[in-house]
Amino acid sequence: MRKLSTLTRTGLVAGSAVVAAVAFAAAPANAAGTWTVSGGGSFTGKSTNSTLTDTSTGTQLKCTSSSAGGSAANGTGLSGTNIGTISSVTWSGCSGPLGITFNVTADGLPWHLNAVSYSGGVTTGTLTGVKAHIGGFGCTASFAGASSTATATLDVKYNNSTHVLSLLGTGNLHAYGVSGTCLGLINSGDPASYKGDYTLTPATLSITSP
Amino acid sequence: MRGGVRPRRSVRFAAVATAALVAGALPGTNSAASGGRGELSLAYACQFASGEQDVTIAFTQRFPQTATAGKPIQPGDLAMAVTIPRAGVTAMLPAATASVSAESDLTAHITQGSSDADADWSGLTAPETSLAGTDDVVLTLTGKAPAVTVTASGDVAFSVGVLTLTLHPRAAAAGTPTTPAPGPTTARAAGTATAAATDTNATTADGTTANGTASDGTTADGTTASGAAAAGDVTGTCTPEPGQDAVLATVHVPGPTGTTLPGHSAAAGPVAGRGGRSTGHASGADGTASGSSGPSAAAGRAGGTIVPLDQPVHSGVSTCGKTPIAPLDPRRLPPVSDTGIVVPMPGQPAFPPGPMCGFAVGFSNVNKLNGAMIINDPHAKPVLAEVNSGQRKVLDYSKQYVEVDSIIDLRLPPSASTFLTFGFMPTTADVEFIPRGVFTVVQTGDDFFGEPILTTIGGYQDIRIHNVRINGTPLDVGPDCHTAKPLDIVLHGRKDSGLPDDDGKPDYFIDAGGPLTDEDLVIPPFTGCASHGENLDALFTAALSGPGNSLNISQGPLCDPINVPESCLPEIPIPQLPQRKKS
Repeated sequence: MRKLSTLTRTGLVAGSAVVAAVAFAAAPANAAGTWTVSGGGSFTGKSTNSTLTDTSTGTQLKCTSSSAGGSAANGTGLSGTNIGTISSVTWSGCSGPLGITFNVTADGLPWHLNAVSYSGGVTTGTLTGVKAHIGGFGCTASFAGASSTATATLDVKYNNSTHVLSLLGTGNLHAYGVSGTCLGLINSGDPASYKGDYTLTPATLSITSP
Repeated sequence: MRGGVRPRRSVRFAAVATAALVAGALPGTNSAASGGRGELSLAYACQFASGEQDVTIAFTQRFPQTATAGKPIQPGDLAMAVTIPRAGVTAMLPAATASVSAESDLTAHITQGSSDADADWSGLTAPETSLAGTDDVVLTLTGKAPAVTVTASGDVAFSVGVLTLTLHPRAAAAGTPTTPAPGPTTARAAGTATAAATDTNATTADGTTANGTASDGTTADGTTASGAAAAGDVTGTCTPEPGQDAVLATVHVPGPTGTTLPGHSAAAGPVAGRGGRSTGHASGADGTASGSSGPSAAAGRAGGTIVPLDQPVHSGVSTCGKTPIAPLDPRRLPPVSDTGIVVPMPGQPAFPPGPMCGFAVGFSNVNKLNGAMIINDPHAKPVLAEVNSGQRKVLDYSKQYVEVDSIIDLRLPPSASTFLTFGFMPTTADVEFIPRGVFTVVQTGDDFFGEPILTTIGGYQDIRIHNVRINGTPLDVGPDCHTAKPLDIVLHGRKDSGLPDDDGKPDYFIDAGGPLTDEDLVIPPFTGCASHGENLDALFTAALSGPGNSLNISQGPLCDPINVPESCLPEIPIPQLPQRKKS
């Protein structure tokens, strides 16, 4: 899977929209009809290292905890597409530069987990349908995909032995509609990355292919 | 810790409006103590639903010996031992009562010269106290008293007044049920009251009543075998018997020293020249004595020189005014490192305005006068500070540096200064602040990097003095008695709670507010002060100008109408005046 090239931190791309071409040319053999989900059902994931970064400016927003609720139905011979669903995500204890605290809200739920490739107990895939917005004192911003009306696709991994679903920090997330004191720290159109490791409970979910 | 110090309980503070300036030393009332340990024992008459009950109340409270104008005077914890005659207890409380706890709200009176204010010292409590035995019952209620500040020198007297007393009777523990028979609902206590009728049941030898009902007319549920509180709290209002001195303690607030001006004695100068004004009212000739002449009330300022530190004031304002549009003062901006990136970058358009607003109130302490002046008085239509946030940022994440720069327009209302003293004569004046441009705000720091968030607010303001009265007589200083050059004001705020270098003081942060201080304010010389041909510049310069002054400001939470509209609702809060003691 090709990784999105990230912009270097020394350059500041202000105001220009960068469209990242995300080509998830998954090995076709692993894409459809070969996935098995066991120990599935509903799950909750918790992360304590969620970080949202404006990769143009380097500005970071960190949350002390995030919680996601979702499900993946058991089955065999499943398509990788929509192998799981994220129905809720919340964040708490989020702060940014100057210690400004933020509220972060997930939009456009449910989001969808898609399995793309599998190797040695680890599934690589995507989280699609992602949109969110942040609000804090002096600052408002939305996050979406290649355009402000398109949802974003984030790269993820799931590890069967640790039961951790990781947001890898790559994808086509961008900031839009930035207002207030945030301007300059985050700009409309700036590419952004979201990273976090969510430990699932119950710790039973296993995804394999074939 | 965000924001300023919050008192443990909110206090209802009813200020009594004061009259005009009163010259002359304070009457030499008793004082139980001049500061230190205040101890007072008073007879009180209490009105309960059952009738009148006389009690004795012994007050004990520590006070500071001396205080400084403009800084909080914090009374110590109050202990109030209420002695109720046994017969009265028996009459008032249900038969099954084995113990009683109590609460009280006390109205205290604070006076300084002709200024007078009431304070509500509420929430005093006494723990469960056994009623076993036949002695008079002593309930000791304790609690905290809120701080108060005065803006002038002179003795500050703390007196006790009316109080409410609520008794919570509690039945004995399980296994001793009692059933009070319904009986006459009135029970008069024998004690020192003149009430004649007494319930014979109130005087049984062992002090218990066989068939008394709660004196407020409700039937006590004596069958609460589990030891739950018996129904029927008893509440009364107690008033000190007349003819007693109710002053608990007096705190000295020394006056300025050495303010005799060359060539100007109390009697000489243009004031005396106006003819006929007696100088006999000047008193407290020794500058260090606390008994300086009664400071006047600032015109229209209820409470006079006494400033309650706990009274919440409603602004009634939920929108910002005009957002200032002005350049940042480049002299106030830190140098940019070679890896720092400044935004907007050259050639880029300016950021749109970031409107915000809030209230900032506080004190300015004038070194030479040892007195304080209220800035943006919360009780006198304080003015909103208007902010345009985030005009410029400097990002240098490789050095873990982020800086946000903003501007604030602060047009303060005139302050009434009541402490100017020439030759020990009480002098009042209105002090007008004339902004010279806007304030530039620089904020740096990032919690992620373990850095304290530092806020520096710098700007220039002239002050103009007018409406001067010396000992009540107007002194014409002309329309333009002002600082020859503006004051260079630099306020500092810091947010560091939880960090290794946490200074332990309340935090300041731009959105939540908190304390801002300028420890090092210089008042420049005055110019343009003239009265009928006589140049008074030297008079005011000698009295006021110089270094060592300070500003102690509390900023309230800001309203951000665009990003956080709820921060403006239901109204933009007016902060309490700074309470934190400074070194």
